Formats: sequence, C-alpha cells, structure tokens
Amino acid sequence: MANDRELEGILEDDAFLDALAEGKDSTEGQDPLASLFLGMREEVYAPLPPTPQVDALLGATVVDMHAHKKDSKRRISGLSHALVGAAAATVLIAGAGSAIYNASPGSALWDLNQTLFKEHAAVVELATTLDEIGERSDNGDAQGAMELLDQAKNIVASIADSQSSQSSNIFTTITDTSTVTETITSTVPVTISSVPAPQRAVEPTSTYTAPAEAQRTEENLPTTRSQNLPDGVIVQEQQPADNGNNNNQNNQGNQNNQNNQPNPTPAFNDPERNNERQPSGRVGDVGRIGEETDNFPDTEGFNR
Amino acid sequence: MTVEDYRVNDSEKELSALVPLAAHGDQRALQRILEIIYPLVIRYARARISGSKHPTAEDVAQEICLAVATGISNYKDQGRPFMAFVYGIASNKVADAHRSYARDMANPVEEIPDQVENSATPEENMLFIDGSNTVRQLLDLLSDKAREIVILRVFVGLSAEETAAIIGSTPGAVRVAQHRALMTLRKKLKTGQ
Repeated sequence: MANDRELEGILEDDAFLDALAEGKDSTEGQDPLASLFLGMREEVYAPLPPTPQVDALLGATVVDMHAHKKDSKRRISGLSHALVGAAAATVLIAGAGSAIYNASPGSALWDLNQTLFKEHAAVVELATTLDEIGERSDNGDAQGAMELLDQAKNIVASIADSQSSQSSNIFTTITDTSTVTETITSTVPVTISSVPAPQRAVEPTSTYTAPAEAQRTEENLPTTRSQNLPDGVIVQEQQPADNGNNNNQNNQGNQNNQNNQPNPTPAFNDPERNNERQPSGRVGDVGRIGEETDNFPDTEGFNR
Repeated sequence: MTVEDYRVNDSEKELSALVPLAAHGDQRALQRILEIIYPLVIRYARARISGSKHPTAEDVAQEICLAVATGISNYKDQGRPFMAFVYGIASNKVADAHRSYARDMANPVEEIPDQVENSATPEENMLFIDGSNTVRQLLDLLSDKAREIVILRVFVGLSAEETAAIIGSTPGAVRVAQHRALMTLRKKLKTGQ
C-alpha cells in the first residue's frame, strides 16, 4: 500500500511526466532523467513524413457508389442504371468479386454469377467503345464520336434488356453480398469539346455516364475497364495487407455488413464539378464537399 | 490548429464519429482517421525503435497504418477507445520489428548503441552523449508494461487517464506503475545497477 510519502512521490512523478510530455523539466535540472527524456523527445518529435494515403496503402482506387438522391439533376435514367449495374458488377468481379466469380450453383451468389458473366462480354465491348469515343473526341472528330455513341447506346440497351428481367435478381443478390448496396443516381451530361483526355466526352441527346475522370485516378485500376467506369462505381481491390488473412477478413466483413454504406462521395464526377475538385490521389475525396461531409449518409435503399 | 495540437481526448471525440463511417467503407473518414493517429503512431514507433534500425520506425508506422486501414472494416466498438485498437496493432508491429532485428544477424552494427568513444565502463557509457539510446537502454530494464506506460506518457504524450484507457488499466494503477518505473530508472542512472 502506498504510504503518504510514496503518495507524494506518485503525484510528483505524475506531474513530472505530464511536464515531460509537454517538453518541460519540472525539476529544473535536478532530475537527470529529465534531460535524457527531453533529448529523446526531440528526436521523437522530429518532423513527420506525410500521412500515408488510404488508396496508396490499400493499393486500389476506391470510388464511391453512394447514390445521391438530393440533386435532381442527377437522376439516373433506366439505361444508365442498367449500364452502371452491369459495369459495376463487372468491376466487382475484377476486384473483390472472387466470391461471385467462384460461386457454385448451390450458393447464394450463383444467380449473380450467371447474370454478371453473361453481360461481361457486352460490357467489355462497351468499354472499348467508350475508349474509342474518347479518342475521337480528343481528335476533334465530333461526328465520329457521335456515331460511336449510337453504338454504345445500343450496347447499353442490350445489356439493359437482358438485365431487365433479372435486375431485381442482381440487385437483391448484390445487396445480400453487401459489396454493392447503392444504386448510382448521378449521371454525367456529356459534352463534345476539343479538350484533350477522356475527361471530356461526347454530348448526346441521351443521358449517358461518360468515362469522366477516369484518367485522374491511380494507375493501378484494374484493366481497361478502369477508364470507363461510369460515375460512382466502386472498385474494391482486396489486397493482402500485412498478412494473408486480411483478404478473408475483409470479404467476410463485407459480407456480414448487411447495410454496408459505401463512401458517400462520388469520385467520378460530372464536369460541372471538375474545377471544384482538388487534385489528389485520394479519389474518394471529391464531390459534395460541404454537403454531407461529416455526416453519415442516409441509408438509401436500393429501391429508389 | 494542427493535428499535433490535439490532445488524445479531442481525438477520441472525432474518432468516435469517424470510425463507424470508416468501418463501413467511407474512405474519406478513414483518411481523416489516419491523419489523427499517424503522429501518435510515429512517435510511439520512434520511441520504441532507434534511428539506426531497419525497418525504420517510419516503416513500421506505415505498416501500422496499413493494418489499421485494413482492419477497420472489422472493428466493433466494444466500449474501449479506438486508440486502444490502434495501440494494440502498434505494439504488435513493433514487437514484430524487434523480432526481425534480432534475427537479422547480417547487421550486428545496428545492435550497438551509438557512442563516440568506448573506453568508459559500461555504466559510464550509459551516461554518454546519445541520450535517446541511453533512454532506450534504460527503458529496457523495465517490465514491458512499465516501459509502455512511460513511453505513452512521455513520448506519445498521453495523460495517465488516457494511458490507462489505452492499455486497459486504471489511472491509479498507471500512476503507481509509472512512479515505480521512474524510481527504478533513477536508481539505475545513479548507481549503475
């Protein structure tokens, strides 16, 4: 049991440590420990390297999939809806979708598996077409871009058609796996201009989610699809982190989160936001700044 | 106000708001969490790992952040502060690093504390110029728990209460432990034993 004297010592040392924590010697040089600690403290408080960035740490670009209901300009059309669903689903396959990809007929993911992979070829073709549109636009070939756009629309339509009978299936299943829980409601009005890079895309009469800001993101996006992600698609790469268990843990964690709310900010944004965005490696750090920044987004269900 | 100006209590308030968001995939929240914890993590790593080691304290701090970033999706609030979670990861990663240093027989030089001359007795050497390695040697005399308490108090800058919350003890126990640790260190410094 601490006696009075020890108690005094305890309190003194508590104050001593508090002072050291602030870089001060409360003993005015009497305690040799003080100068030793303070010397080391200076080293410890040397300037820091920059804070690690999430996307660099995790090795993938994560894009927001959160649907933004409030902005009426950004309602999604049926076609875009299907497009995004297909593309998103495809990206999920590329990224964290090994569970879907490997799903066997008995599993809950089987329907999803079947549906997604049927669309796969169509989506890849779409992606290629979008690339081409971007190139033609870059080259000032507005006419050619428009032509391709028609083609792209057809592809989207074909995806939508085959999906429409199963869309509820996809999205229900997606909800269940919890890797995708939000529909994308933002859409990008596309404009032709001679501005270089696929960031400016083609102006159609229909709404169309364009390749937008794909080029801004990290290089380590999966495959060519990365350039053509419609607004708000999530890429989730489960990289093995400090040990091999993390993949498993993350997948399971995701699957267990029934109400997994993804990042509320869309990374691929409409051109009107282009100039507001701060260029950064953090893809998630864009959009709706000042709106919902620190608030957890409303639970926005699938059925919009 | 920079992040460095935060006391941990302020951080805990912000963290408690951010952590659920980040756990559900909000990357912006996760980034903000890293901004908050990184200075603390760096200081802890630097206090525990001397500057001549490889992997460096900064390397280990990076690993700690990675583990926090990947582990947060499984984080469940069980009534302990988020920093307790971070600390658990940090102390494990540092322990891993120490094991790897011990295994790394190829670089024995790193095991030798920095000293200018080596003609003094071991005890005198301990009092020699390089304060930080002296402190580390001193701290190695303590039990793990006592050492952690001193490091968290002095170099990470936590109060006795904050330290207690993070290591899972009580402020009273922390105060007794830190006092006895300091007494041990003073005695060692004075008498060489």
